[in-house]
Amino acid sequence: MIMNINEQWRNADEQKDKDLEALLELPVISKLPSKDPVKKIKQNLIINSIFGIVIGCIYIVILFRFPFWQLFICLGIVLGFTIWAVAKAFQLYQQLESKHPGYSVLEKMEEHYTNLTKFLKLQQNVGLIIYPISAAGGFMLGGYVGSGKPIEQFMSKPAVLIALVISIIVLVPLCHYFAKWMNKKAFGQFADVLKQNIEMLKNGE
Amino acid sequence: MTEQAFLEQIRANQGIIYKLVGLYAYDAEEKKDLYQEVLLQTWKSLDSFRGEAKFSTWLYRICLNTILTQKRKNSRIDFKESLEDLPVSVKNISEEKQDTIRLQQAIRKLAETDRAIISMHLDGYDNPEIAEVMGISNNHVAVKLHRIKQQLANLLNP
Repeated sequence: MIMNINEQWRNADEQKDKDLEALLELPVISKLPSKDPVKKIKQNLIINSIFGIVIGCIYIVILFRFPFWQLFICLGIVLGFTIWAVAKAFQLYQQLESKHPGYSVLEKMEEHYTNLTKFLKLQQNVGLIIYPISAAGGFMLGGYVGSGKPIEQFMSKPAVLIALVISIIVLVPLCHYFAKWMNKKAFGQFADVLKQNIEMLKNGE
Repeated sequence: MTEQAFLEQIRANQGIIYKLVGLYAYDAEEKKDLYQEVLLQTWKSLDSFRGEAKFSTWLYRICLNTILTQKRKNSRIDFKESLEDLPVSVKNISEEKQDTIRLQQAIRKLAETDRAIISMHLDGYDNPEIAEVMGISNNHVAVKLHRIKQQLANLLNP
C-alpha cells in the first residue's frame, strides 16, 4: 500500500497550478504586506500606544481645564494606568522578536503562542482597569458639565453616588468580558489552533 | 543569492509549495494567500540559507513554519463527501489522477501536524530530518508515522 501511496504522491508533484504560477512575480511579492502574526501584534501594539499617548494628553488637558480633586483622583489613576499600559506595550513590542523561519516547526508555534497570549493578557488587563475608572471620571465630568453645579454638590446626592457605584459595578465585568470577547473574536480561534497543534505534536513525546 | 537564482530555485522546487498549500488551504483564495506569504517569507529569510542543507529542505521548513503559524480561515477541513465521492469533473480524469486526489483528500483529513510529517515522509525525508524540521525526537517521528500510516490506510481502504 505504501508504495502505491508514494507513487500517488509523486503524481501530485507533476500537477501544475497555473493560478499560483502566475503569482511568482518577485517585485510584486516583495512589496506585499506580511501576514506574519507577530508583525500584526506589533502593529497593534504601536496603534494602542499611539492611542494611549493621545488619550493621556487629553486627560492632562481635562485635568487643567477642570481642577476638581475628585476628577483629579479618577483621571490621575487612569492616566497612571495609561502610562503603565503604554510602557507595557512598548516592553512587549521589544520582546516580540520573530525568530527567522529556519527554526523548527514546534519552536515557531510555541513562540507565536507565547507572544499571542502575552498580548491578549495585556489587552484584558487594560480592559479591566482603565475603562471603568475612566468611566467614573467621565461620569463626574459629565455630571458637572451637564448640571452646571460643582462636583461636590453634584456628587452629594445619594442617587448620583448609587448610580456611580452601580455603573462601576456593571462596567468592570462588562469591560473585562468585552475585551475578552473582542480578543476571542480576533485571535481566539488562531490561539486555539496553535495550542492544539503544539499539543498534538508533543503528544506522546 | 541573486533574484534570478532565487526564482530558479523556487521554480525548481515549487511542487513542494503547491502540495503543502494545497494540503492546508481552505479554498482557492486562501491557497493564493498562503502561496504569496510563503514566497514572501522565503525571500525575506534568504539570508538564513547558508547552503548547509539542500534548498528543498530549507524551503520545506519555511513553508511549514509559515503555513502552521498563519492565522487561517478554518483549521480543520471536514469533507462532506466520503473519499470515494469525487466530483463529476474529477471522475472524468485518469484513474491515476483520481488516486492522487483521493490521497490528498485523505491527508487533508489528518491533524495539521500529521499532514506535515506524512508529506515530508512521502517526499523521501528520513526520520532524523523530519524530527529536526518538526522539533521532535526521532522515536516520536517513528511512532507518529506508524499511526499516520494506519490512519491513511483506514481512510483509503475503508
